[in-house]
Amino acid sequence: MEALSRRVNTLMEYSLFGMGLSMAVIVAVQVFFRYALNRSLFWSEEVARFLLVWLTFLGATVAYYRGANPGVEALYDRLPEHGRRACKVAVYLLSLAFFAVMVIYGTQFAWFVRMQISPALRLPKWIPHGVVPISGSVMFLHALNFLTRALVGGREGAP
Amino acid sequence: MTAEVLLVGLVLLFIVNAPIALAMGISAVAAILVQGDLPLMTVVQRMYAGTDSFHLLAVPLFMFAGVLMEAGGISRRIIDFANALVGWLPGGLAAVAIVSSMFFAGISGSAAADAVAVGTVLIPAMKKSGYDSDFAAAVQASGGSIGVIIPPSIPMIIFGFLTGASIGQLFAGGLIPGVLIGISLTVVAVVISKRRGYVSATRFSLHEVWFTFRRALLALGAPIIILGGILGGIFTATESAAVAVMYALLLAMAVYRQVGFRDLFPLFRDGAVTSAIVMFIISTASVFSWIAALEELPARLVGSLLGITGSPVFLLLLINVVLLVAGTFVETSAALILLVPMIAALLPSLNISMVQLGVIVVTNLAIGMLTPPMGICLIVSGSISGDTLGAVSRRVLPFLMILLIDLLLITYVSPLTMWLADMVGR
Repeated sequence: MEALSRRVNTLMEYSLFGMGLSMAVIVAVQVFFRYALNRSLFWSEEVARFLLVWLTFLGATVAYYRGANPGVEALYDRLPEHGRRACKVAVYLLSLAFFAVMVIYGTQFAWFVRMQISPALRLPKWIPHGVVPISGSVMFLHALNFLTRALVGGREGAP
Repeated sequence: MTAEVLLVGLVLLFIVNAPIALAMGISAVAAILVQGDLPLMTVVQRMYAGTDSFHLLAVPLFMFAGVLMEAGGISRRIIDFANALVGWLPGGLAAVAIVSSMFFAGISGSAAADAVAVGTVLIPAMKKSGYDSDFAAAVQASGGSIGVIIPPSIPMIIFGFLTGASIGQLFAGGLIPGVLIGISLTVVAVVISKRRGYVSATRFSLHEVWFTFRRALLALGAPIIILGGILGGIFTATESAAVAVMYALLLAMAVYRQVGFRDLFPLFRDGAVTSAIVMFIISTASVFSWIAALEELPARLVGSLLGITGSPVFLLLLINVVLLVAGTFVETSAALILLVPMIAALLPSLNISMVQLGVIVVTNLAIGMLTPPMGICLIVSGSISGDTLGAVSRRVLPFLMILLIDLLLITYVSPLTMWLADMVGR
């Protein structure tokens, strides 16, 4: 599971790079078209917004994998070792439940909007919405991995 | 009952050190389950809608611009220029750290990025010249906080997104307050350095100023493009961010040649992760604040604040106190989403414009970045200098005092913000 978690994360990192770069290029092209060619692009804003949503949810999985999501450490830091471990396990379990909500209801929602199409691109709406369950399942995988680490003990898991 | 579950759940999750984004999501789900009528599907729907915005696109784009500029050798040039300008003062390096942070604030929209970009060069330099390590970190931490006040500014983008205030006007409004804060911090740094006998090794030379200015000219062009473009009504904040990314790519890859194609992958990846951290908090916080609004929490808070006082002067003071306390404990974007809807509801009783309110809110949260335990600037600077949070926070106190004075000025002297802001969009 450790290896799967790592491999999925690498995949996520590459897609973040692609989405980040293309998002910047698309918005810059939009400005260029308006001023240099005097023509407004009808699709750029919508694509850039979809990319932002994808970047947010996939980026959140990488941040979660790295343990980079900030928390409030004030009290936690003063706990003894076993108290911290108990906190961690509790947080992992609750997080697993939240990720499950993202997967189950995210899928339902994407299914719910599958017939709608976006105004500019005429793209079916399940494509942008699909990122919520995908991101939920990746974080579910990472959380399972962290939980096993915390239970088996020894190495430090991410927060 | 629903409101209690929401709030108590959030506090409990904060105590056990759950990531802030998840704490807000989990307590929102718990509240929905207790309430019983709302379908859980609304959770994912709100999470999605909370991030689907053209305004918020500026968040990752300014992040990319900042990362590229830093990797492109721009910090070095800006620091050299600042050194020629103020390096000859007593405590010259401390002044250089603050002035460089001001210039860099014109490129990056985040205080932590600002503190890292300048601090990695100047904190070691200050230590080498005999400055106390914890003082060096405190100087850099306070300088970094300017990063969110001088435009571009990610918290201002979020404020505009939440309230509908023009992001361009917010940016323009932050400029003079940011410069005011920078100058006052420099004065404090110089006074302390003089008392402690930190001397300067360099002397003022107009020739040196001109030489380093020419070297930094292209780097200083970035803030001019961003600000000039927005102030001149040429493009929106989001578009200016994309143009800034292209400009940074051009400088870093073609002009200064510090960044190759291979370097682009880690730069864009890490910029994306940093912005996703902020955006994911916005995402789950929108679920949280939606339920809070259903339970009429903002209205209740507004009611109780108005019950304390009706005078705009005292209300503003009260708002400042609430924000300072919140900024101390909660991460900036979370504090914005939780509190701004409530504070914005007070606007009719305040006698100021939404833009000035935005600058006040962001200044408060910037000060919150300098107070433990959630003081991101303290954490970042302390980790560069190798000092504990406690040591740096003691040395940051004089800077906090002057910042509070600046905050009162920004709160009660409207023209500081509105003079430039009113020029935008006319």
